[in-house]
Amino acid sequence: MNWMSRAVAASLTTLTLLSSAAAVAQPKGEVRLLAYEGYADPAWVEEFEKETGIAVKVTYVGGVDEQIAKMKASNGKDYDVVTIDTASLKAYADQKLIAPIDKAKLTSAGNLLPEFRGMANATFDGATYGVPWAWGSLGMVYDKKTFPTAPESWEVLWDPKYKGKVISLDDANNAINFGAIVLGMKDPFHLTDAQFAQVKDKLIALKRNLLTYFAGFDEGTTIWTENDVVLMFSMGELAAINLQKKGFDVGYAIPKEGAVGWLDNLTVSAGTSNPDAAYAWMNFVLQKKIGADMAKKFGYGSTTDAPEGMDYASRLIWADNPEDYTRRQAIWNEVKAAE
Amino acid sequence: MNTSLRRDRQDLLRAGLGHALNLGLPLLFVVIPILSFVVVSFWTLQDGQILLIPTLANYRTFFTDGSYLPVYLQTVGLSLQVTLVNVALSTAIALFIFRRTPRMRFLILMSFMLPLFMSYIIKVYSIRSILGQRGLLNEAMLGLGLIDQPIEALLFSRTAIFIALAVLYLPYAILPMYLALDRIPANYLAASADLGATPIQTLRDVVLPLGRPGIAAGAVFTFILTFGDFVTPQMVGGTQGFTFGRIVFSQFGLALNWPLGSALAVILLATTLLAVALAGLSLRREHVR
Repeated sequence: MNWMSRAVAASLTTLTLLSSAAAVAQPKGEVRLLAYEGYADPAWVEEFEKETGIAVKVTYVGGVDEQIAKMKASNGKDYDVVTIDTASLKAYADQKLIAPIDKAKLTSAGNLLPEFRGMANATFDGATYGVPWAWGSLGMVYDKKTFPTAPESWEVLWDPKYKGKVISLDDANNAINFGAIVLGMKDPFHLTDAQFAQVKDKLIALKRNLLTYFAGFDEGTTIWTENDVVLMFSMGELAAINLQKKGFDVGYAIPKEGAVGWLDNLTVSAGTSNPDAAYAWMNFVLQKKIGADMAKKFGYGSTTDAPEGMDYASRLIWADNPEDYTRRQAIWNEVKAAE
Repeated sequence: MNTSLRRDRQDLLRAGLGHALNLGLPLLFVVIPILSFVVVSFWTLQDGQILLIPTLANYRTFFTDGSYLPVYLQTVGLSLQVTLVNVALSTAIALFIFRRTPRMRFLILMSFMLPLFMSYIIKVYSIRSILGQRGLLNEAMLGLGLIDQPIEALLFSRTAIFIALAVLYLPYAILPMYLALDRIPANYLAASADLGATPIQTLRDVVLPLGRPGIAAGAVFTFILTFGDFVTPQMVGGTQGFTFGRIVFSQFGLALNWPLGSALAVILLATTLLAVALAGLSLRREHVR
């Protein structure tokens, strides 16, 4: 062996070593997420990338409309995993933008809490389209000084004793859901004419007890801090968390009548080019520790780990699309115009 | 001969192009967008779908259905009240500025215009934190011993809407009023004084009549801005904060009732055009006399 062939052999060895090293470091493709804020924490992404070698690319959306527009633009080909709320799930499935869940690949399904394991509201025609992932509710925020124990019933908002100390969410659809739930209607999302009339009267009665309506988390919190408010029909857990952070002694409760809940599901895009990477991400985030971390960081309920104080998932009525948005808005306008 | 003809043609072409731009730009960016919602206002909404079937139903809804007409009339009333108060205030303030030395005038005028450099939302939030139950005003009056417990009705009431709108839109009334006064030649005032008029007489017979265009412009600005405001009343008015602008706004969210929303917007636009026309008419009458 002359020096020449030795050199060739050496360089070949080096090349082999280099290329095998490259094979280890090379990511096994990419998973592209379409998610809401807080659903792809950088810490989880880093851990996932290290663990699996799959690169994560996140696209955040601010709302339902924006999300469906993004999905429709490419028939889902731009994304692998999409988080979709229960109310919109059927529309995505009907338009074939998402694919049924392959339960054999969903190895983390066993981590789900019992109330979420059924996935009933994500199942259409026998196929399951979403895995429950994060949830919250539109519950009651109450002042703990005025109410040492949480009020049992929503009716306390109508109590003249608290006139001018109650605030309520200004949102046509959810206000009508709320009225229907307080009146004990079985399906608050599909009301009859008679039920609409009852809900309208109930909401007008509430209006007379209100200090004001509010829109958005920030506004609710600001009004509470600047005025003498003791009760709120809120936008969610975050309202109470924000007030507690500001030093207000408030509690969050789901009264006996129940409350509207929202539930976001992990789904697989119908246009995914890398389903294995999609399931790898879903299995990763469905670990109990990730759920607990999300609850701690963002105040969302987890489906794998019941956060402290959030023991009421089974009493929530998961949001569904209402029978007629236009009609609900017209009725809500009548409530707001009433004297 | 030939060259002059060509030049004529070139001039004609240039003039034509100029006219096309003069007419075309406003047409493209103002008239067509406005016409587009006039068109939408005649469409039909059926089962949540907008259909291109012409109908008057959206306008009928305004006159017959539930709450639209009463809210409209209430909002017109509120806007007229704010306009009246702001015209009085801005006239007084403009006169006050007008009577200072030229250098002082600019300084005072600028200080009244300063709020225009601030974000609208920040101003509404500030007004709210001043009027709130734990707000500046209540705390101050409590501290001074003027009241025993916070006045609750300051914020989240019709009064609050009225105060907030008047404060927000006052600069828009002061500016045209002041500019109108500023155009009055100084020798008119001197002449009036030389002829033996008292300052009050000069004000009544010289200054105010010459300031009329300013009053009209200020009134129109205030009315239009107040009438179309759909944020302020909602934020400071509490359960009373439902105005016509809010109804228009509400048709474009999840309700997706663009035809009705457009019809209501057309009514809003017609109302503001009427305000402009009335102001113009009042000025013309002055000329004739």
